Amino acid sequence: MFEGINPLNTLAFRDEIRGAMKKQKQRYNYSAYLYIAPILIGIMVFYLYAFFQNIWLSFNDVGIFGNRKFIGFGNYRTLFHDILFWRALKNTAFYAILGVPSIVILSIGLAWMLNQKIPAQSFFRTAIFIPAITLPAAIGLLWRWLYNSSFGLINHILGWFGIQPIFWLSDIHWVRWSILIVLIWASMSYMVIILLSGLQRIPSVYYDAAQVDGANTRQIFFRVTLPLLTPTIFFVSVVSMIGTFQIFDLIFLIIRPDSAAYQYANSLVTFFFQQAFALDLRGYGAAISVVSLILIFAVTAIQFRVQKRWVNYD
Amino acid sequence: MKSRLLTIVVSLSIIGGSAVLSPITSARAGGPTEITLALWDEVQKPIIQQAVDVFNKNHRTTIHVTINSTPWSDFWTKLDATLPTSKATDVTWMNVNVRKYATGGVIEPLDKYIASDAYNMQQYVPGRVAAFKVGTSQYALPKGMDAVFVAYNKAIFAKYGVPLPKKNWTWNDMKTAAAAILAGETAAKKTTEYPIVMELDAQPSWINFLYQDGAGFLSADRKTTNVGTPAGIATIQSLVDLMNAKLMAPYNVLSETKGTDIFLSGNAGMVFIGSWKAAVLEKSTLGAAKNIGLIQMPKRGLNNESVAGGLGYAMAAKSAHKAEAWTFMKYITGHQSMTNEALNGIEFPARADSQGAYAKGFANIDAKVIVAAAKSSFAYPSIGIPATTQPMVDAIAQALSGTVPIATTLQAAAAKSQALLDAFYAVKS
Repeated sequence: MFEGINPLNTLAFRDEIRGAMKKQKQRYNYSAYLYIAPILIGIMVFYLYAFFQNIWLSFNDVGIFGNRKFIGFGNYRTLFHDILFWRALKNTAFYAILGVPSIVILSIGLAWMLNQKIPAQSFFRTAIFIPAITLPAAIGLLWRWLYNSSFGLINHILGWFGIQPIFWLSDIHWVRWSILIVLIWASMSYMVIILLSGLQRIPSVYYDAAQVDGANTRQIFFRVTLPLLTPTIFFVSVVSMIGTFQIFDLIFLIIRPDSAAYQYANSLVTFFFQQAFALDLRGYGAAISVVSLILIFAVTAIQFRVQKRWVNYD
Repeated sequence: MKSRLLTIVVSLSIIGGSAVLSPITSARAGGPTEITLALWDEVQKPIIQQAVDVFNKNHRTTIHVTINSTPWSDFWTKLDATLPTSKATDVTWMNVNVRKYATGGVIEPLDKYIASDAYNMQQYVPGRVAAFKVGTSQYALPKGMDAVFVAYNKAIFAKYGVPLPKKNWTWNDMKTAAAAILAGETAAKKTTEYPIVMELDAQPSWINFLYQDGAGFLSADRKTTNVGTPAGIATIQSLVDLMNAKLMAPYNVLSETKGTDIFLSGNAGMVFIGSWKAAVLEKSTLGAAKNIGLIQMPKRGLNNESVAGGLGYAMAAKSAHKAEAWTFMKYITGHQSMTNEALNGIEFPARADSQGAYAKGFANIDAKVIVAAAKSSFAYPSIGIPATTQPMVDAIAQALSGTVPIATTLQAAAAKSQALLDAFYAVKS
């Protein structure tokens, strides 16, 4: 807006314009708030109020029907001595450390392939996008049957190669891997679509220039495509990191909560749900959610800080 | 100016929209009083709807009942959220959780209604009346009762030439039969067939065995944990032994596929199972082929008694129509309604005068066994604060899975539960 103003204009004139804009701003402010009031009130009640109330609840011993007693950092003290909490934290870190890079790398690969001129391109694009529009409940039930040790397809196929049945969902060493595989599979499709659009935004002049200079496919991918895709890759890694930290439905639906293996697959969110709603420890649950909020916040902040070193905004 | 005024009016009406609309939908002037019933079971719902329809017809001008069904997985969470509010359903299904709601003051003590009507509580089975008593007050009218028993696959017994279980059998008799089946399976190289299976949750399995050995889960006054005692440890050990000897399906298998499903697929000789599955047994392919036999559980150290749970009907303390709710509760647990449920095989009634109809509802299984099991039963031990007993439940799951040393795990968990129980009772007194 200011770009159209002649730089030779006097300071006084500029001040006049600013003053007029300020006045206009003030005049319209109130009715603007009214326009957004319905959604704003909704956000304040259902998000902001709930957010702060949750923090407050984490300092209380909360009964099921709303009766509460202030106990300071009691819930947090219990939390740091709770072996189940540490196990959930360890599992969540496992999903994040192995899951996020796998999701990002595999999605880049798939997106890159889908961006090439391959036969039946739209079929593959649709097939890869299907998990993103499938209900998590359906994904959970589907994999529960695929993984079933006695009747599942996976063990059946492994059997052809003489491999003994693997207890995917009940062996305490395997459950985390089972969940990780589904997590990667289910999260990838959405990321592929985002990366694909990122790939298509790269101007073809860069490719043309690289080709004129005699670069081969590998060089083009690593020197041109990847650097120009970094803003999208950054977005995808932030989103999948947050998503991984919040993993709930897959675990809840695939592994039976009363199974002995459940705590070896438990994430922070399933642990929170179990404590807050199955065991009625609402205050304790609030403390768990506050801790995971701080963790997600910290990890995301680190990601934003580190991105300056590797993300190219041309 | 005009447009700003318009903005204000429009915004306010959007914000206040729900408040403006709600009275129109809820008030139906002059009609019968509307009350709601909360339940979770879609199998039972159509049969209960029949009774509700009759009730609504009989009270055409005064009361109208609507069923409000929520799936089991969400039922209790929703109940927790609604009971303390004016949106509470007037009447709700209740189970062992009664203590939690009674202690929270969100369900209505029924004593004054019982007294003013001189309502005869003797018509219900005493154990079920007691199960809904918290302190000295009655909090629900009993609906039905359940029992655990053993179902066996006659075809498997016949295939391996193993004699069928006989009345008054013992745990050792069961092991002998299982060993004979195992021998047959091994010879026939049937690796996915198991002599015994069970469900892993407490009610149809280990909680019975703990009491049958005299160990118990909680003491009778519900103040002491008994799982960490030598007797308790021995009970859980005996189940792990069964799995180790391959007489029972391994933990991993049972935790991925429910014992009942393995049995119904024809891959198990025997299953410990609850009466709530009776209709499933009756309608199964196995049942239709007359291949399912029923027998009471085998006798362990002390006896073969079954743990009994069962549903009841409770009233919300916040209900605005308590008199109407009480009238409905009397009807829905009455002779006519409960006989209908029994005839349809959805419930073994908690009232003696309707129990006779139950066995008549079954053609493929011998429901008399269920009746007998229900008669020699003890109440499900619950203190209504799940967090206090959860360490023991978790420890038993870990112990059964064979991944931890049994004795120390159970002892540590029992001690942890005991500390939580002590704290709970210390606050209460």
